[in-house]
Amino acid sequence: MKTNIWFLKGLRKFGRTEKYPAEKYAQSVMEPIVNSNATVKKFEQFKRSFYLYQVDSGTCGACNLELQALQTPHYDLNRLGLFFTNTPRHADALVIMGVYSEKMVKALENAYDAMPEPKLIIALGACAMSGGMIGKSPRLSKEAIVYIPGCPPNPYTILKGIMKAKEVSSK
Amino acid sequence: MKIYSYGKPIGRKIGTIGEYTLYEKTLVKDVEALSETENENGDTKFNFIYGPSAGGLTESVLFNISTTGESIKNMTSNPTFKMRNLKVLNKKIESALPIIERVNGPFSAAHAIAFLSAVEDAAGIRADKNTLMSRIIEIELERIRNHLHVVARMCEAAAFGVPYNSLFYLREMTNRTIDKYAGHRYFFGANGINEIRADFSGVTNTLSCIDREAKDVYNTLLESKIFVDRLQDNGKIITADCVGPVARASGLKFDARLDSQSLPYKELNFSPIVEEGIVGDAMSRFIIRFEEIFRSMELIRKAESQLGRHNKSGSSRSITGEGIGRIESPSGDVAYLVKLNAGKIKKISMLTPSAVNLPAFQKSAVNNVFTDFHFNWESFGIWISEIAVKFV
Ligand code: SF4
Repeated sequence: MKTNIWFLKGLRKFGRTEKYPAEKYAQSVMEPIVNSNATVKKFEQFKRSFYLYQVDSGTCGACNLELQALQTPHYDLNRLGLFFTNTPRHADALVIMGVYSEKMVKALENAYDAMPEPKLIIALGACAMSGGMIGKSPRLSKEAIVYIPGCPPNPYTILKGIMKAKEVSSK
Repeated sequence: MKIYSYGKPIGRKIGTIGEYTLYEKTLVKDVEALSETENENGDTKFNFIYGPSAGGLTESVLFNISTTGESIKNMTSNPTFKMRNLKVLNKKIESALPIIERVNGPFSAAHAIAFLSAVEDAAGIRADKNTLMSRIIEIELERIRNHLHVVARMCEAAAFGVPYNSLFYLREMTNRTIDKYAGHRYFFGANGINEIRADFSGVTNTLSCIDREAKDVYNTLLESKIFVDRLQDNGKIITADCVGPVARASGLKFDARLDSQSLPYKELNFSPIVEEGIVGDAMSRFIIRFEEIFRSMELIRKAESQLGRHNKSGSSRSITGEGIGRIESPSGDVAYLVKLNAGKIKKISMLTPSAVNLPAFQKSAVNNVFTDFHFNWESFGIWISEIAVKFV
């Protein structure tokens, strides 16, 4: 039966997760930037699993797709203890994408307020870092601790950036 | 403008572009305001809000849903939360192009090419064959990636983990193919006036494994009664006020590849895939998208065999005039209407498939259960980024 073949194929696909091909992607994978102005505290909680909640403040859609790509078997973010969550109440990090848009300010603040302590912010893509070519970057009462550059960032850069945020904030 | 003229409606209605309604051959000044859909059934209802930021949604959009318990009785949407103002007016064409590419990243090639076709129409230039065939390859690669994305998201909504991962795997392979040939995973910087900065020789070979594996997943999904059952009769809509795969899944032969002259699809003997029989539901849209993946592979093969030598790129310095470009993006017609003066943009309006299809989606959700909302939403392939945008 086909369904059984699928099961086996599924296993095969999961076996394809790639190691970080530093040399191959040296050109397109950029280094995430740790924000030297942000106060970074260290917590026990971030040592193991790390949950991410994403908010789109004003993207062109490409950053959203690249972040989603981390779920593909190539990158498989779960193997690194990283997970997406559907609610800010379960999140450790708020991933902000896109430029400033007036109506999303409240949604961003509400999402950040709903997150349990300890919590941190990651800015993903040129728009969220500086406004890129489009506008201004979104402003929150707290600063991002890691910036992930690129327009859109390569999924490897995103993985590196999230790992960096986890690393600098765990004891 | 060579192909279009102002006047009475001629041909099929496509949608609103600036202060006009765009038909197949004419621009008509009778714009319908984008109205919120009302579907009052008289039951006792309660309202809830879904969005603007929720785990199941890729982008920020708010749905106001009215329900009697399980089935949706009325739904309106607010796509303006992530509104962006794009500064392109009074800019040179070359400086505006990178911004146009970022109107909607997933359909970046379609937007850039529709815009450039409008510019070339205003200038009276016809791009050379190599550029036109390369543009077709770009658009079809974008369609393959988008359709793989849409069907993967539908599998995710059905909690079908293995096909979801297989299809996302193939989506990533397509992205890497685009990166390999065009230098950027989203075609940013790959296009110019009568210019293409990519060489697609050999692309058919690279795509062959994607074609094989996609067929395998498609056939297996069609055999799954559980999957088919969840999609059938969900989000049924038959209306002429829609474009792209949504229209073709409703049995309508609407396709800019057939009735727009911006790209030479006729030279490739293109014919659109139109659903017959039980039509207009999420299942038809699923079938149309999968079938179009294979049709796009065929088109890429034919276009690759016609790639020639590139002549020379055009300059924007002296372009003055008005032009329209219309392209079939993965979700339907994308059109640009531009007015240029000495190579600078004086006026620009755009028509996007997401804006045309959003009211149809709202209507289709009525009388469906909320648990099936995601299949329906994903099957429309709507991108809020191309709706919530203003040119300033
Ligand atoms: S950073 Fe680039 S890819 Fe990401 S949302 Fe902004 S324009 Fe789009």
